Amino acid sequence: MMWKFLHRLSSLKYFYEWSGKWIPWLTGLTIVLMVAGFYWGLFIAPADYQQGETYRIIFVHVPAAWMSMFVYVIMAIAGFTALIWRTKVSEIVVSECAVIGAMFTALALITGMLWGKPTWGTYWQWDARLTSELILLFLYLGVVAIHSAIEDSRTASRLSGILAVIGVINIPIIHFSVTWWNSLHQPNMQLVSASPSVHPSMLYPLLVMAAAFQAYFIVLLIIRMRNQILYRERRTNWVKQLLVEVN
Amino acid sequence: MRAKRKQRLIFVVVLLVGFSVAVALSLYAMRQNIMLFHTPSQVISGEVPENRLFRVGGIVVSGSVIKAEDGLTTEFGLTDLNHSITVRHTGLLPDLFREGQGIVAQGSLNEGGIFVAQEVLAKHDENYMPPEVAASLNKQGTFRPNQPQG
Amino acid sequence: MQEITYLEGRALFVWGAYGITVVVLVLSIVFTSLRKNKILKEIKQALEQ
Repeated sequence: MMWKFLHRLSSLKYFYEWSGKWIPWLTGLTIVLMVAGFYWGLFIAPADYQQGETYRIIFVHVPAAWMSMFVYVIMAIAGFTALIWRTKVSEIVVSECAVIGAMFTALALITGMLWGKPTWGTYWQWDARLTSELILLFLYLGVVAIHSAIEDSRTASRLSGILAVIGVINIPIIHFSVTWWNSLHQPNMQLVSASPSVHPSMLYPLLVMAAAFQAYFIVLLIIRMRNQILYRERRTNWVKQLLVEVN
Repeated sequence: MRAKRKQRLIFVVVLLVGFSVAVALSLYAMRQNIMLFHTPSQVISGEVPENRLFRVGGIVVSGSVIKAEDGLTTEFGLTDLNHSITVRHTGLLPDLFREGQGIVAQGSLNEGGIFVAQEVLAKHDENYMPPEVAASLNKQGTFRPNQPQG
Repeated sequence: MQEITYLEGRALFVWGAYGITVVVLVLSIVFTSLRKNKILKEIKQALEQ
């Protein structure tokens, strides 16, 4: 059952039709979660005992940083399936995830710098966490560059798939960078523990924001993939048929 | 087709494992350089670079902060809970600088064994809570801020 | 309300971080959605030739 569904999903035409139905619902969900998260984080959550108001930046910084790593894992899995099974859908997931992941990584870096200046006293330090996150941005940009430099999309997918897969080694490095080496960046938040390191009044808005970013990612990925599918399949009958139906 | 797929699978897995091993080995070899700062214990045992700037990190010893008469120079003890050193800094300190707070200072040792810092950065921990909660935890004595790092 | 525009003098950093995030997220969705029309137009032109 699952396999049959996945197999059908790997057809570009079927994916295009199936994903279209989800866009309005997911967009609505994203907007609701985003508005709730932003309002909660900026206006309802209390100030921090040490950082005061500046800590509010974590409500955008932490979800962006989580997404920057999550999107990479998705991209690496898609790259792996693209390399082994040569499925077109996974090739498209790789190229579109690279753009979205680069955006999340850049956001994590920029918001982190804006947090670092008032808290640490510096925008940037060559600390293990900051450096490995910057490398993540370059990995994403590498995949984007391969796709824009190589005309033939299948060749580009093979090369970028390899980069996506081997680059996944950077993900545990980012996560454990604050444990393995001493760094300026604080240790990872302890969310699943008997005494969480984030107070519930701050944890809930953070989780809402994380859910909002997750929903946003799915919406943006679907829209980007549909664009890419239309372009790649522009010479097929079903796309021509689609154009006739639209007009 | 099946055999070809298996071949590709082996190729990708070998590539990933080989690359991971290479990265792990180089990170291990470079571990001293990746460490952002040295600890006061390392400073005392002489495991720090001479004649060049380095960073030292630790916790500001409670009750050790002395403001000089010029109003700009601050001297304080820095500890990793095993050993402590004296740090002198002239200039502005970050907002989070306070006694019991983790900091990272960049500078070098002078002849007297005092660490002359050119830059002091405040380190933060992973605990986030409203002031009232911190206050009540303090009262109960269950609050343990700023565990030493490294 | 006055409190939130001041934020202990850190308003620039906090609002800057939120502002950049909102702008990037919104523009990203908007441009991607607009691109679909462009692609459809291109395909149509190619078909008509």
